[in-house]
Amino acid sequence: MTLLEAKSGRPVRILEIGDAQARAQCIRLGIGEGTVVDAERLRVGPVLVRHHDSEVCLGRELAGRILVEEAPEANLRPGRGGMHGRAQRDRRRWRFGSKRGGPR
Amino acid sequence: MSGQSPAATGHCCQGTTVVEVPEGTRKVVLVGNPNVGKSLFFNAFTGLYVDVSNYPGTTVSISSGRMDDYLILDSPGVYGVSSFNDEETVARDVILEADIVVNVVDAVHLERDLFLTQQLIDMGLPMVVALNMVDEAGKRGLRVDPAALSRELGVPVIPTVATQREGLEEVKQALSEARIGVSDPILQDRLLGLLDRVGSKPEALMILEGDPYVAERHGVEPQGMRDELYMARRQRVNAILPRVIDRREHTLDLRTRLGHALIRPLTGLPVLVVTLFLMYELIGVLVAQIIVGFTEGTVMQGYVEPLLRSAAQAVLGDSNALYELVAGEFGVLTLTVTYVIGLLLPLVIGFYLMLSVLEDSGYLPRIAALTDRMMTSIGLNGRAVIPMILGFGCITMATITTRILGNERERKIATALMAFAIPCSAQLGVIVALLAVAGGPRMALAYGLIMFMVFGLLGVALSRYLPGTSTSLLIDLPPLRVPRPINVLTKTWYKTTGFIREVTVYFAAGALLIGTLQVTGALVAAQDLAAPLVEGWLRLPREAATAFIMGFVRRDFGAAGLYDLGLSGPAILVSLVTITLFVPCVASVLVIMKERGRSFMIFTWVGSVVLAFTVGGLLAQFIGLL
Repeated sequence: MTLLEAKSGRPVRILEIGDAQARAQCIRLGIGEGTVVDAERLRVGPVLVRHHDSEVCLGRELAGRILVEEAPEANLRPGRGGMHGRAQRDRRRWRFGSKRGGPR
Repeated sequence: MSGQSPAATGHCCQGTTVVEVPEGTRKVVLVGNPNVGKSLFFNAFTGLYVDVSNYPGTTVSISSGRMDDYLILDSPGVYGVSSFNDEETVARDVILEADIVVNVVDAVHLERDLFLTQQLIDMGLPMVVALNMVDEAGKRGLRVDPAALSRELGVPVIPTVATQREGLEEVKQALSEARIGVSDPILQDRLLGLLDRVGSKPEALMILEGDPYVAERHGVEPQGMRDELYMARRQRVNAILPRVIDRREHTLDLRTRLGHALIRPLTGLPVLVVTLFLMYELIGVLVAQIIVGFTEGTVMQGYVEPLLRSAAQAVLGDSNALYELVAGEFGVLTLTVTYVIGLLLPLVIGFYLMLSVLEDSGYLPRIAALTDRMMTSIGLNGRAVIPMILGFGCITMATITTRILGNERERKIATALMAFAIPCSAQLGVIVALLAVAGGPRMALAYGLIMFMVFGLLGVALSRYLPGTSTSLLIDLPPLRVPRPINVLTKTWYKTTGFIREVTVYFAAGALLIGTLQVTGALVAAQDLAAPLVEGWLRLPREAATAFIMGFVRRDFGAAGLYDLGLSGPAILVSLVTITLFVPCVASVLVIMKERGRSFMIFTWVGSVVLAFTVGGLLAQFIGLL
C-alpha cells in the first residue's frame, strides 16, 4: 500500500520512495526507506509523518508515490532506523563496495 | 582554501568565490540545519560589524564578519549539502571555500542533524560540532553525551545553550582544535580516485553524489551514487545514535500539542483567520495608511519632492521635456524616490517583519501544511503561501520571492496569479476605502467573492494548461518557539535592504517609461483608445479610462482616480474588480520580465487586460440586468 492509504495513527515501515529528490531529502530527515514511522493523514491536508522528535509533512501526491507496509512492532527507538528483518535483506545492496565495478 | 587548491582558483571566473579575504585569514563557516540557532553563534562571534551580501539570483544572503584572525561566514540552514534549492546552492558554495566548519546541531533532533554532520566529515573538512539546545533536549527526556559523540565522530563536540550564551566561548577556543572526522574508508578511497582531477575533496564528494553544477565546473560527469552514499551515511548515523543518546519516556508537552492543533483544519483554520486579520490590521491599516500617509504624503510629497523639483529646475530650467522626464509628474527622480522610500520601504519592512516572526516562531511551515491541499488544486504546494502573502504587500517583492518555489512551472503559476488577481497593499488601501463608500460589508463581500472565484478558476486553468508537473510539499515542522526580537529585526533589515537594492532600478526604469509615454502624448492616446470600451462595455464614465491607464504607473494611482468620479455603488464594484485584475504596475512588469522572461511578461500583461475587461464587463452587464 502507499503512505496515503495507510491507516492513520498506525506505525508503518517506509519501503520505497518514488521520487529521487524526495528520497534523498527523506534520508536526510531520518525518514528514509526502511524507517518505521507513525503516519497520520490530516483532514483536508497532507500526510504528517512522525519519527522520534521529528515531524514532516508530505503532500498527498508524494505520499501516493511512497510504498509502505504495516509495522506492528512500533519500534521507534533511535539507532534502530528500521534496518531489520526483510527490509535489511533488501537493503544489503546499499552497502559500500557491494556494487561490482564502480568508478575507475 | 583558494591558495591550496589550484583547481578551485583555475575556475574562479565561473564565480565560485563568495567573499574575498586577505592572505592568512582562515574562513570559518557556520553550517547547520534550519532553526538550530546558528545566527546566535554568528552574532556572538562577530559582534556588530558584519557584511551582508545577497547571493545573485536568489533571495538568500550570506553574512560575514571578523573574529580575531578568522573570517566568520554564516551559511543558510540546510539539511544536506547539494543543490536541491537556492539555500543549498549557496550553502554548498560557501562550504566549499571553508577552512574550518563549525557545525551547529540541535540536540533534540540529532537523528536529522547528524546526517549533515557526517556529510561535512565525509568532505574532509576540519570541524567543530556545537551541540546546541542541550537544555531543551533535557526537558524532552533526551540526554546526549558530548564526549561519546566526539569519540564517534572524531571531532570536538561542545555542548551549548546559545540562547543563554553558554558554551559559546568554548566553541571559539575549540576552533584551534578543529579536526577532520571519522569517515568511511571505502568512500575516502573513492574520493582519492577523483582528487587528482578535481583538486579538492569536498568538491570530489559533491561530484560523487551527482551534483551537476560542481561537476560542470570541473568538466567531469556527475556520478549517480547519491542514493548509495546517502543510505550508507544514514546507517552510520543511526548506528551512532544509541551510543550517544539516552532517551527516556516523556509525555507530549503543550507546545507539541499546540503544533498539532495548528495543522488540523478544525483548529488551525480559525487561528489562521485570526492571524491574517491581525496582519491586515498591522500592515493594511497601521503601515499602509497611517505610516505611509506620513512618509509618502508629509515627508516625500511635502518636503523631498519640492526640493528635488527646485534642484532640477535650477539645472534644467522648467517647462521642457527633459525636466518633465526628470522631475515632472512621473519624473524619474521624484516618482522613484517617493515610491521606493515613501511608499515601498515602510510596507516592505512591515511585511518582512511579519514574515520573520512567522518563520522564527515555526508557524510558517504549519501554515504551509494547512493550506497545502488548497494550493495543490491550483498547481502549487503549501510553500506558495509565502509569495502569496507577500503579494498583498507588493507584487514586485512577491515575484522575486517565487524563487523559493519548487520549479519554474510553479513560479509561473504563482507569478501569474499575483499579477492578475492579487491587489497589492498600495492598491488595497484605496480599494477598502472605496468599498466603504460603495456600501460597506455587502460590497466588500461581493468584491472578495468575485476575486476569490477569479483567483481559483485562473489557478485551476493555469495548472491544467501549463506543461509539466508541480512538486509536492515535503516540509520539516520545527518546534514552536517564541521568536527572538534581535533575530527578527536583523533578518527584516537584511531582506529589506536586499530587496530595495535589487528593485530600485526597476522602479526608476518604470518611471522613465511612463514619463516618456506622457511626454510623447501616448498616455492620453491610450486613454482615448480605452474610453469607448469603458463607456459601452463597463458602463462607466469616460474618465474612468484615465484611472485604468494610471493603474499601469502605480496600481493605487488608478484606484485613487476613481474617488473623484462620484460613482454609484455597483459602478464602484465593477471598476474595482476591473482595476484589480488589470495590469500590474510597471515595476512589477519589469521584474516579471527579468524573472520569467519576455514572452511570459507579455502573456501576463495582455492576459490581464483581456481578463480585466472580460470579467469587469460581464459583471457590468449582469448588474445591468438586475
